[in-house]
Amino acid sequence: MRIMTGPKTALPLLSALLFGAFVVSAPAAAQCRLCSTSETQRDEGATTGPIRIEVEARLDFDQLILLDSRGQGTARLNPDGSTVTTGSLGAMTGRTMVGSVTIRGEPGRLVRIDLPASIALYGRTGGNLTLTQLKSDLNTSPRLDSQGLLQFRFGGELQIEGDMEGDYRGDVPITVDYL
Amino acid sequence: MTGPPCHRSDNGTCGDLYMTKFAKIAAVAAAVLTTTPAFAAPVSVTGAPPAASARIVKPLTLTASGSLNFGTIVMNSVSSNQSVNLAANGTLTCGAQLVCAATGTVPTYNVAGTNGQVVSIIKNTSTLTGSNGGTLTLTPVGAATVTLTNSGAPGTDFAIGGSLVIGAATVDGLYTGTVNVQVDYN
Repeated sequence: MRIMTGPKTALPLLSALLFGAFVVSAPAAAQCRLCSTSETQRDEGATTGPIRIEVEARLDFDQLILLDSRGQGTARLNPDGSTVTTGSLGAMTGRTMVGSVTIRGEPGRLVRIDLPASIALYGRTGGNLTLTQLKSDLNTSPRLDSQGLLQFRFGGELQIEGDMEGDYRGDVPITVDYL
Repeated sequence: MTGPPCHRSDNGTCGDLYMTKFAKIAAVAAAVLTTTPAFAAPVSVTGAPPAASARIVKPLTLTASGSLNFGTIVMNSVSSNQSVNLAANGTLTCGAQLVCAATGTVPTYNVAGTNGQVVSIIKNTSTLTGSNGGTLTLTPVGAATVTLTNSGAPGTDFAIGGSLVIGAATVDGLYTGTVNVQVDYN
């Protein structure tokens, strides 16, 4: 007869506990059909399809008039289309456009959408501007609708310093992932 | 288990053996636990990123020199509306029941702003008031746009002409007023 002590005794016990934990975690079959939830629920663990980003409209500040070539200023275009300028910039025109993006993916899925903190807009003839505070009109838990669509708009704030006349352009890298 | 007996007082082999087995069980448990899909794996995202754009421009400045002058126009038994057109190049043409000079003078405008930008020339009608009463409507004529060829000074020039309509009821006299021209980036 062998008397097991210490770790030798704990080994089978741990195995049994571990096995028991997995057995317990298995869902019991519903006994009450009226009480049971729908059997057609989507399997959260199923393979996920690709997400597609479609650009409906670019973020366009149109023309900004620099009243003082030696000054500084900011131009803010909010997701709701409202505009604010400060410093040496004149009022924005009525032709500004907020960025608009449509996400296509699996219907009903929660997604995480990340906008960059800032990006650079590069001039055709050199130089660059900084676009900061990119914000969207998404709620805190964005979800694709029943058609697998989610549309949102975004804006940002342009920082201008000194004589920077010219045309500027940059890409806004948006990352999307299922939660 | 067929190995040698092991007691608390043993050192070496037995302890190592159990530690190995415990580690294997822990590894299995970890493997099972990690298969629980708390979050789905990242999926591919396709589509081009949206762009952001802005055009920074200097404010436009518009200055005028000279005046729009049709000269003297003789009403020769005017019975219906007659047009007087003074082109931006100074050429003057009149209706058949009018007599006028071949040329007039036109104002020259200078617009300065950001090089390469297209500027719209906005022309609005204005009213000329006669010295003996009555009014005439002045309609400016000229180019619809101008492209700036430099940044700031010296700017780009353009001329503006005008047209009038003189009818049978037009009172003779000296008519004066202002030419209403504005510019804006296109």
